[in-house]
Amino acid sequence: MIRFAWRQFRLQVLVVSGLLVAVAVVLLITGPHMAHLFGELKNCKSKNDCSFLTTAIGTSNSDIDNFMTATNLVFPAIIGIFWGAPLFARELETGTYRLAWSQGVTRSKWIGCKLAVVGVASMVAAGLMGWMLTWWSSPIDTVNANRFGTQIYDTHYIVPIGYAAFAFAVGVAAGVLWRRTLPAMATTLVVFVAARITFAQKLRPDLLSPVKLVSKLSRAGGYGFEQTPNGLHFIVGAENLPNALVFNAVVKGKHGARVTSQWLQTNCPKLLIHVSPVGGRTGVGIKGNGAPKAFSECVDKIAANFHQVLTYQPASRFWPFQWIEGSIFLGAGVALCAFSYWWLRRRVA
Amino acid sequence: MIEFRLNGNCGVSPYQQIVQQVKSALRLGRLRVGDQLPTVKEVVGKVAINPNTVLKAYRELEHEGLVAARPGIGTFVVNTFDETTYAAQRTLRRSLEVWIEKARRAGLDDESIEALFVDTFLFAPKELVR
Amino acid sequence: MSSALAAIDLGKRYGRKWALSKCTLDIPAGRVVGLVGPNGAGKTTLLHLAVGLLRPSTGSITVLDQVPACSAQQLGRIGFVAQDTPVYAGLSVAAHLQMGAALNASWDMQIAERRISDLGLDPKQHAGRLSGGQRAQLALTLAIAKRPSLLLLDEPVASLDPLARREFLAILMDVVAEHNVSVILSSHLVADLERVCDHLVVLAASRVQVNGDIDDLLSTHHRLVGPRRDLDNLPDTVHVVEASHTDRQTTVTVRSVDPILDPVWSVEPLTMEDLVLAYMGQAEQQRRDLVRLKGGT
Repeated sequence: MIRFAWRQFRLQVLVVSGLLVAVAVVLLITGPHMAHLFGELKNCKSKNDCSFLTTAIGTSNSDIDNFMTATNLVFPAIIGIFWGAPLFARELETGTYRLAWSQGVTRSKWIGCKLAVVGVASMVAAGLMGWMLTWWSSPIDTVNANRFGTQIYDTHYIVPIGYAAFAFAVGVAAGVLWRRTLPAMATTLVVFVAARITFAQKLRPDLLSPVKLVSKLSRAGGYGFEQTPNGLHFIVGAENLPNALVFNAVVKGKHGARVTSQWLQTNCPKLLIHVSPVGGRTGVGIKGNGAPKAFSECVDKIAANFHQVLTYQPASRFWPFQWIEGSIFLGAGVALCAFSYWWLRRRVA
Repeated sequence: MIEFRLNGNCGVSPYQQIVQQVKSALRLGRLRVGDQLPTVKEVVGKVAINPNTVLKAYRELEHEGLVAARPGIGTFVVNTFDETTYAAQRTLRRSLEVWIEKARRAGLDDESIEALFVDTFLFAPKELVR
Repeated sequence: MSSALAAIDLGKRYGRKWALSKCTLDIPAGRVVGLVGPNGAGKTTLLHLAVGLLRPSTGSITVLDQVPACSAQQLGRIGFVAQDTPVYAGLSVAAHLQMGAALNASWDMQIAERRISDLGLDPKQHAGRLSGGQRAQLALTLAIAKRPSLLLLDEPVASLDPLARREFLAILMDVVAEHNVSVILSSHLVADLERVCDHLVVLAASRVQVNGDIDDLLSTHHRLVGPRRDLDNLPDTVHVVEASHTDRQTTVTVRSVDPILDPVWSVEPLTMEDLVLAYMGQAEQQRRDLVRLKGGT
């Protein structure tokens, strides 16, 4: 049965294998040069050399990097559309299920075998794709130091395997419900993209409760003032922690007090003189002699009375996040496959 | 060897058609004592008929004492109708051919000839007048 | 004698519509059964229930004394050729045989390969490029080479031209002669069934109308023609299947084990086609009566 499942599946395997080989070739051609630059970066002596090499690594293959990232992002969808959706839909659509289910193999075994063979193949293919990109882009990743960014987090290591399992299962379920290939393919694409976006935006930030870092106002994130119709506001940029997922930085005083425009009016009168609306609209414009001095005096005053609260997921949580998100998608995939199995055995009868 | 053919729309069941065809072949001397009938498999492969039907027809012929089955070999003709009529048949066929020719010349079409023959045959005296 | 197919009060419902209902049947093994009926009568439903592609809504069905599709071993004993003879368009003829070998424990590759070469099919040819007749033959080969005890065929010749149809049936009968396999064959081509079948099941309006060995059926069914008269004074042992009246004449199709002796009637034998049409007509008449009854209330 396993051999026949492979035989039926041969064309799709060949196409996806071709894609994997093409990617491998591109990466093998361009990878060694980047690894060489990275080796030099580790041993660089002067500050100029180092920054030059950093820039070179970050930009030399950025087109390929972007393309590979895109390929990796859509790869699970391809699996779902071309491996998952037709798996049973084509049999139901063309009527060949009547041939298959009257052979000397029980329906349960036939369904289970196909699900297992193609499902595992999906995960292997996605794992391979992710692993190749991980190897190739490791110099870029080190230089960019943004592991939670889409370029790394969504395409490397474990989550792509979970995504592929999920996409495959969505395809299978859409196929058994629609009983027709084309609508099942379209449904797969829509559901997979929606699930990925929803998860990345709504659920991922809270997978583990974020860490709060209370610190003195630091200049690393940058800050300034913003003139709005409601008055002047103090704004602060989030600090750039390497490889961490930083959500926001809030400035707070005792008992949760905030830097309000009233507070600024009372405490930074000099600054207010220098602030003028730009073009009559909101914006920042500090003009005139003594403005820089007023600015830094005000900032010092804020620093004396307030502190900065940074909300983020630390870099050390990269792996727990990969495991958790990967498992959730894999679990959803397994549940969908179980549903399809039940549906085919009970309802398509 | 005899070859069977089946007519789908004559109202005679396939089994009866086979029996009739064997009998008429015996009557006309096309099948003689010692001849083998086609095996069930041969008949089935040629005319797409249920093997049980062929078997049933052969059993009927066997029951009438015309054929006998030799297990593993086949079914053979063991008896036939009066062989002495074969010689007479030839002259009779000849005079019938002459009669048909006459009928054609008189302008009768095939159906009229057949109808005339059947009608005459049906109403002719049933017993031989001695 | 064991039974090829036995059903008790078998029914299958799709939503509110019954595709098959109150079907009670017992078909002995060793027969070639013709399953006849108009389109939509439930022939395909009955066959799908017998293969285990469908589950009954009511009642039960056993095939070769086992529940359909209950095990791989049971499935291996049934050869099924579905309607329109589905095959994998993208796979070659040889790949189909490999599939059969991989999925059936009792597969006989010699039978399969010999039949393919007898048919003159190229093993490398894709099944999608075969003609209708060739595809039907491939599907039959797949069903036969697993050496089944029972062959179920759903309208296998409906889409074939007369020559291909004759060839298909000849091969089917050849298999019956050689391997002693039971066959249930659905069709609405009565002329074909008359040649190849020895048992008849008429299915109409999702019910079994009649079921029996053809010889028995033909010897117990008669057409009576006589002057116009009421049918009430027929003996109780005579069951009226269908009756029609003109001004002067009454024609009635009856089922009776005893001979009809009443000299009023002239008794004619029935052909299988007459028989099938009479029962299909009976079902249609019942359906109309039912509609009229519902409309009246």
